[in-house]
Amino acid sequence: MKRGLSLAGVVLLAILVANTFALPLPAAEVRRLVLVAGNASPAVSLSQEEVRKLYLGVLVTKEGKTFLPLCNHADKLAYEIFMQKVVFMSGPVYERALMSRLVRAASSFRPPEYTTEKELLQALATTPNTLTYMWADKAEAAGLRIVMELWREKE
Amino acid sequence: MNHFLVRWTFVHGALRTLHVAMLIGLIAGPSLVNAQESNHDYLIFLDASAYHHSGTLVGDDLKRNEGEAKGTFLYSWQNDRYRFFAEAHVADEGEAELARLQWGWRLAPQTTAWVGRFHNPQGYWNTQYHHGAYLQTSISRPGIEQFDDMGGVIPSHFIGVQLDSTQPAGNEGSLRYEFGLGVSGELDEKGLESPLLVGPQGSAKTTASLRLAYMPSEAELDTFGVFLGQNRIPAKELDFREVRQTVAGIFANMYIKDLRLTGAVFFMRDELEDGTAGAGGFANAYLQAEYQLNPVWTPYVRAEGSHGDADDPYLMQFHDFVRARRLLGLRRDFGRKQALKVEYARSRIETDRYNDLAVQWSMVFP
Repeated sequence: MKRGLSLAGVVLLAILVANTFALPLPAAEVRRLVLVAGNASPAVSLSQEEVRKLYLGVLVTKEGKTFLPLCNHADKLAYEIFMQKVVFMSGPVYERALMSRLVRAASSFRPPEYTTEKELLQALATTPNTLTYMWADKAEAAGLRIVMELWREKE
Repeated sequence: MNHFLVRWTFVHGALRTLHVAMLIGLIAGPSLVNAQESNHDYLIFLDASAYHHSGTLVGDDLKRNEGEAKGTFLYSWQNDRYRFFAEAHVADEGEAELARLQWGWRLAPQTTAWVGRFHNPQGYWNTQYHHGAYLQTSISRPGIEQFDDMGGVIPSHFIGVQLDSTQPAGNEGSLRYEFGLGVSGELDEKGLESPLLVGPQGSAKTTASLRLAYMPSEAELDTFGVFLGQNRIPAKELDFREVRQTVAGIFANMYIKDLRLTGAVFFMRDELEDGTAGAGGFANAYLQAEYQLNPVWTPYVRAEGSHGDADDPYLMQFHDFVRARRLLGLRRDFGRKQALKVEYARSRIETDRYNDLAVQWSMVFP
C-alpha cells in the first residue's frame, strides 16, 4: 500500500530544512595581512608610512637598527593586497620605480624577492632585522612575531 | 698656433691617461677593498622592436620596415664606504658600449663622490630610463632626449667626476642634487658621439651639469626639478671648430591617482665658434600622460614641440632630430616583468613629416 506525504509531513520537512540552513555557521575567519619579523629581529614598532618607505628602497633606521624588507612573492594574493593597500601602487609600477632608482644609481637597494615560502621563512630566521608581510594565520602557524596589522578584510 | 697644439696635445694625453687609470681602478676596485658588509644587485634588460614607417621620407632617408634588438646589463655594488656601478649595452647591429662605469666614495650615507663615465644629467628621461626599454612606458624617447649617437642634440654621456647627494627637505620631502664635471663627446657630419672609455678617442672638451630634484615625499614617486649645463663640443671636419652649448630646463613627474604625467621644458643656446654660422637657440618641451587602467593595461599619449628651432644653426647638423611629435600607445604588462607595447606616432623633422607604427617586446631579469 502506497502512502504519500501528508500536508503536516510536508510542513514539518520544510521547517526542518529551513532550520537546518538557519543554523548559525561557524564564523568565517577574517583575513588579516600582517607585517612579521623573524625571531632574530628586535621588537620595534613601525608606522604604515615607514613600511611603505622601506619597500620603496628608503633606509629606515630605528633604535640603531636598519631594517631589511623582504618581498613575499610566494603568495600572489598577499603581494597584490600589500601593493594596493600599503604601497598604493600596482606591482608593475612598484617594480619599475625600484629598478629606475637602481638605474639612476640613486639607490643600490631593492628588497629581495622570495618565490617560495620555505626560502622566505629561512631568510627571516637567519638574517637579522628582516621583515616581510603575510597572512596572519600563516605567520601564527610559523611561529613568527607579528609587528603590526597592515590590512583586515571587511567582515 | 703652436702653443695651442702643445696645450691640446697635453690635454688629450692627460685625458687618455685618466681613462686608462680609471679603467684599472674601476675594474679592480671592488676586489681591492677589504671584505666588509656589502650588497650587490644586477639587472638584465632585453628588448626587440619592429617599426613600419610611412610618409614622404620613406625610400630616401628612411626604410619602410625596420627591426632592432638590444640588451643591457647593469651591475651595482656597495658597502659602507664605496660604491661601484657598471652598465654595458649591446645591439644587434654589432653596436657595443660600456655605457657607464663608476666608482664612488661615500662621503656621507646619502652623499657620494664618483669618478667614471656617466649619464648626462641634463634632462629627465636620459638618467631615468636610459637603455632600460622595459622601464619606460613608451617605446620611443622624446626627440630632445634621444641618444646622441642616434641623432640626439645633447651629449648622452660624459667622463669625469660627479657628486650626488640626497638631503631632507621639509617635513617629508627630500632634495637631490647631481653635479657633474668632465669631458663630453665630439661632433662630426654623422652627429654627436660620446667619449669612450675604451677604443679610439676623439677630441673632447669640458662639460658641466647641475640638476636639482625635489621629492615632496620619500614615500611617493612625484619629482620636480631643474637642470643647467654647459657643453663644449669640438667639431670634426665641419666648417666650425667648436659648439658652446648651454642647456637649461625644468622637469616634473607626478601621479594623480592612476594618471601619471611626465614632462620637461628645455631652453637651448648654441654658439658655433670659428664659423660663419653664428649662434642661435630654441625651446623644446614634451608632456607624456599615462593612465593605468589596471595592473596590466596602460594607454598613453605624448606631445612634443619646438619653438625657434629654425633659427639655430646647430640644428642644421641634425637632419633626423624630431622637432615635433604626437603619439599614442598602449602597453600591456604580462608574465614576470615583461611588457608588450604598440605605438603610433606622427613626427616632424626639419620640413618633412613621417609616421611610425611600432611594436616592442621588453623584459627585465630578475
